Amino acid sequence: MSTPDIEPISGRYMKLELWGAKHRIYWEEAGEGIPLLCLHTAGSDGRQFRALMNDEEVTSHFRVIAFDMPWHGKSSPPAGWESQTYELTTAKYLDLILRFSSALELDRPVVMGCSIGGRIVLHLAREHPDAARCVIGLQSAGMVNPYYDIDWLYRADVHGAHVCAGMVSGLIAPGAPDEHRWETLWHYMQSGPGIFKGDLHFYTVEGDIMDHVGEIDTGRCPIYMLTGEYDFSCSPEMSQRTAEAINGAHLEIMEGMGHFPMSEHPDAFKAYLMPVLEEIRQVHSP
Amino acid sequence: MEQLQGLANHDPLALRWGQGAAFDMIFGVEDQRYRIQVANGRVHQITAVPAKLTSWDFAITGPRVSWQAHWARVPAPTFHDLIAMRTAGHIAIEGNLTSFFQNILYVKRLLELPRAQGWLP
Repeated sequence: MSTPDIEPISGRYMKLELWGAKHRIYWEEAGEGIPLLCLHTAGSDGRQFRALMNDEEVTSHFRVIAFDMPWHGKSSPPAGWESQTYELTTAKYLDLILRFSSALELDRPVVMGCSIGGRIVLHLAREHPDAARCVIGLQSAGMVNPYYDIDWLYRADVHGAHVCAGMVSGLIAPGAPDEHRWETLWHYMQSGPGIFKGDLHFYTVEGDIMDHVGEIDTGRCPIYMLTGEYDFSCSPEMSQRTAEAINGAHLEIMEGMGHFPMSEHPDAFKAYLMPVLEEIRQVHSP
Repeated sequence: MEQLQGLANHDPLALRWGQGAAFDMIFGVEDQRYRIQVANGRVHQITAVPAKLTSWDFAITGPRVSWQAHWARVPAPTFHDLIAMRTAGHIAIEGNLTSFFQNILYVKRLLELPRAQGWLP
């Protein structure tokens, strides 16, 4: 019998008062050192960061933490959800990050978010620059151009798992290994009904920060941005436009990468992330 | 195009994601139109020159260069996916979009199968 390969990731739940209701939040973490709080994409969950948490080169210096947003993954929706419509807003998202960080007593974590997470870190840097020692925006832009009607994501006559995965499958770059491509899509297929759409309310409707990104003080909260060249949702051009509007922002375009770098192609992503983490260790250590 | 029927009906991904699929689609290269009839998750028939007044659910059409780029061994950004191509204006997706979105994983797979075969329209 083969020996099981038990991963160094641990998962726990916390009860958290949030958005005017009691929530049960699930999070995973691995490693020790500088807290690195990771924010998953819309309609997915914290498993997107599984490779980072399994990487000793990262976890030997960083405490990597990823929660499942309320209504996502193993975080339950609040009691009474059956008659509510989930809809994410900037205020709710910021509140979640700050309350979760406070609950774990994280000391100015590095906050790294992807897609909607890449958007909210811009809001965080602008409104709460002292809450994070720096932020990393993956597939980050102040605004995106909506390219489809998000109502398609939640309809009685269209299978939610098929359409959610079908709408993001092309955001994954052609060179992503099949194993990671389909794992990434599986997370989308497991998303609760209407949740991806509810997240995109923030991403495509409410959370536009383009007119205010110039107010971000990167002296107080440095910004690193990494964007995949195959992403047509948050395209390299959109990230470029955002970075140009933020004095001191660092942007790198990741060749051969799509919208889910940490999940679709962890090995290739590492080549871009490690220099950033190394700089953070040297410049932003406690 | 006739070969596409055999490819699709033996492709594990197409069979997995097409379960129960039933629709008539038009696939277009330049002015050439193909009617692809799908029933019970299998390509039932591909007609190269659809008769006039033929009905269909949705149509995916574009110039030859778009499909050549889509079927390149490693397609370039904006050519690598149907939605990406539509967003960039390389192709058009029209008709009954409910049917398209109901079958999106299958349709994407169907139209990327020629890539592995090295086909060029």
